Amino acid sequence: MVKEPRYANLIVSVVGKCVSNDGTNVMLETGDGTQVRIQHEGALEPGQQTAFVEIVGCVTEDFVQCFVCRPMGDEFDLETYNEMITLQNTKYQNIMMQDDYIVA
Amino acid sequence: MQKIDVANPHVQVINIKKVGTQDRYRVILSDGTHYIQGMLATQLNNLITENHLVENAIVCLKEFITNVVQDKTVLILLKCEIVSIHGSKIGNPTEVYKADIAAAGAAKPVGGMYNAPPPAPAAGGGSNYSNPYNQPSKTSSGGGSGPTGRSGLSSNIIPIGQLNPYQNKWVIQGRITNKGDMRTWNNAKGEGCLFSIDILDSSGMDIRGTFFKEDANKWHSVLEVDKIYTFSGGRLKVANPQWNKCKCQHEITFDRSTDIQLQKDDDSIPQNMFDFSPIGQLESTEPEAIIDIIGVVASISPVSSITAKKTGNELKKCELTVMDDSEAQVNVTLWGKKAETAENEYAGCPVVAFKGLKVSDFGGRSCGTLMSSAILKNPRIPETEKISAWFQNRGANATVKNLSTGGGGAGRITTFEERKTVSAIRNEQLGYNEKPDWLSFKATVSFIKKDKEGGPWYPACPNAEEPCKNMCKVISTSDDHWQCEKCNKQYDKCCRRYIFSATLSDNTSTCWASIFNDQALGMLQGHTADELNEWMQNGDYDKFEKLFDDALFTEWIVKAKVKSELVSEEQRVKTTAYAMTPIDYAKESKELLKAIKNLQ
Repeated sequence: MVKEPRYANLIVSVVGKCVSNDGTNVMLETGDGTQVRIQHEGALEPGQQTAFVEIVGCVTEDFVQCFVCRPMGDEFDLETYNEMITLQNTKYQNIMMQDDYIVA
Repeated sequence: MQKIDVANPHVQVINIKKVGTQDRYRVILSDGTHYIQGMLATQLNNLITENHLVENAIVCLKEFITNVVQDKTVLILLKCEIVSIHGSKIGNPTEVYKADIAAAGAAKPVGGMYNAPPPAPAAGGGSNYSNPYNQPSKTSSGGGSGPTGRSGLSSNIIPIGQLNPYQNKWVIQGRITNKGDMRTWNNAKGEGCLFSIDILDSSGMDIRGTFFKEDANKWHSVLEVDKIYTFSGGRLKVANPQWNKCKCQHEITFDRSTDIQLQKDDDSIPQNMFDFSPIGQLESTEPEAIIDIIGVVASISPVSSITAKKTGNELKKCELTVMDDSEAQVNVTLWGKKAETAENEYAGCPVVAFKGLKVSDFGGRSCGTLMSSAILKNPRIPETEKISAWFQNRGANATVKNLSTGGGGAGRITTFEERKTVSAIRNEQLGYNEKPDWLSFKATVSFIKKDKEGGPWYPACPNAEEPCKNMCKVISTSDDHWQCEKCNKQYDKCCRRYIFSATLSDNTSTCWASIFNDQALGMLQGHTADELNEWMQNGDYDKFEKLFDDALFTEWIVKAKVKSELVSEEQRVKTTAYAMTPIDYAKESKELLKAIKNLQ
């Protein structure tokens, strides 16, 4: 979802499961199954982070430039989370508060 | 074996004798020339006990059956009318022989009292009698032969209503409407197994039959519900209405001589006789009532296990949510094998008819199946189509009134849908009935009243056994000991248990609730009241305050009991938190998403 053009250059929050991490970039698998590349430049130590993280960053063409990283623990119901933010961003957009960043 | 529909003969009762251990009366009936033995059916017993029927009275036989018992013919009197009282035996009758009875054909004109008008004006007496002992060749439905007839099985089928204990050779044909699970018993006399079936025939009457031990094992796997069989062989006895809800006043004990043959299905025998109540009506039905309902099975709960208090046996149960076109739904509890197979059996929202459910006020109103209940999926009756059409047209999401809400009874876990809001306590005027109302809601602890003299707890008896179970209040004695009110023992230590009030809030309202030890422990992260008391003694007030502060604004699923009580001359509705469970966020989110979807 993050890959969608409408989020280009916006600040978003992404929650996903760490699939791979090479010290500079980490691949996150999000709730809808897609993989997103996050450029974190050391913010995420490969050995130390939890299985699930939340990244707040800026969307560029290929990746998300990470600003902040938040550990979300090792257990996270991505499916339910995905359902919720889908509803939040589509159907019920009008009742959602305008935040500093968009949860995607 | 016939019920003879002959012009009602008049006979004189020349002898009455009570026989057997139960109240059965044997009579000797005379037509002036011959006499014959008869037995009074139990429904006529009152004629003797109330002294209507006395010796030498003349009676008019309205309904009777002939039966052969040990080579002698006996009349079973089902209905008779006292015509007149007579002083003495008329004529000098001799015993009639079997030969006379078996002979079909012309009525033998019998002299004696038939032609003589009875002493008192009789109802329609007179000449045109045929000998009641004579079997006219006219036979009733079923085409059976005379009382001695033993021709082929099929020609001997009689309606269930005609079965009686004096008739050994009978055949009935009916559909098995219910087959109970096999049950075993083990008592001082021995052990064994049994199961029962209910048989319904084309006359609309049904009867219960039971198989024991070897017969039970032999027939249990063979017989199938909803199929038609002929049954013969077995003893008849009077049914006990407390357990047996079948229409027939007798029940059958099948035995070694029992023969059961499968017959081809035909529609002359209905699947079952129902008397459906609309589910909406159950709200005003008294608990313990036995009713039938038909509806769509909207959901099936997972199977759970309960330990029976009396026997200690583990019972499996499951609940079906059934709704009908009265726009109401109710929970129906299934037990044992039926519970285990329910999830597959009733998937897909089928129309199911239930017969013989017991209404209870558990959870408001709910229904339980008994061993004698019959469940029919997609029954071949007109109501099925009606309910099915209603369900399709309303859309599966329209709301119906749920009669089984509120988690009545402490043990019941309420579902997300059954939860209410705090405002419901006032809005629905809960707590004003005789029994307390139960409800569940999700709420946040907004305030805890902990500033009680001595602490938000009471000293309780350390005796963990009966009768105190740690819960009875103890009073401090002069020498620093504690005396228990219930077990009257003295202890040098007491066990402190929490008791305080807190306010619980949700987005609709706030209410005060009493919190007791078990719930408080959950709120206060497991620290016991004794622990907290020590902190206070040690001067650790900050620790104490912090613990309670941490408990503020925590969210719980609260199961509460609401009851209106008299408090210093005022009726007050008091809420007690019976259980407070933390929220499983993943599960809760799923439920919320589902609810959001249903909003459309």
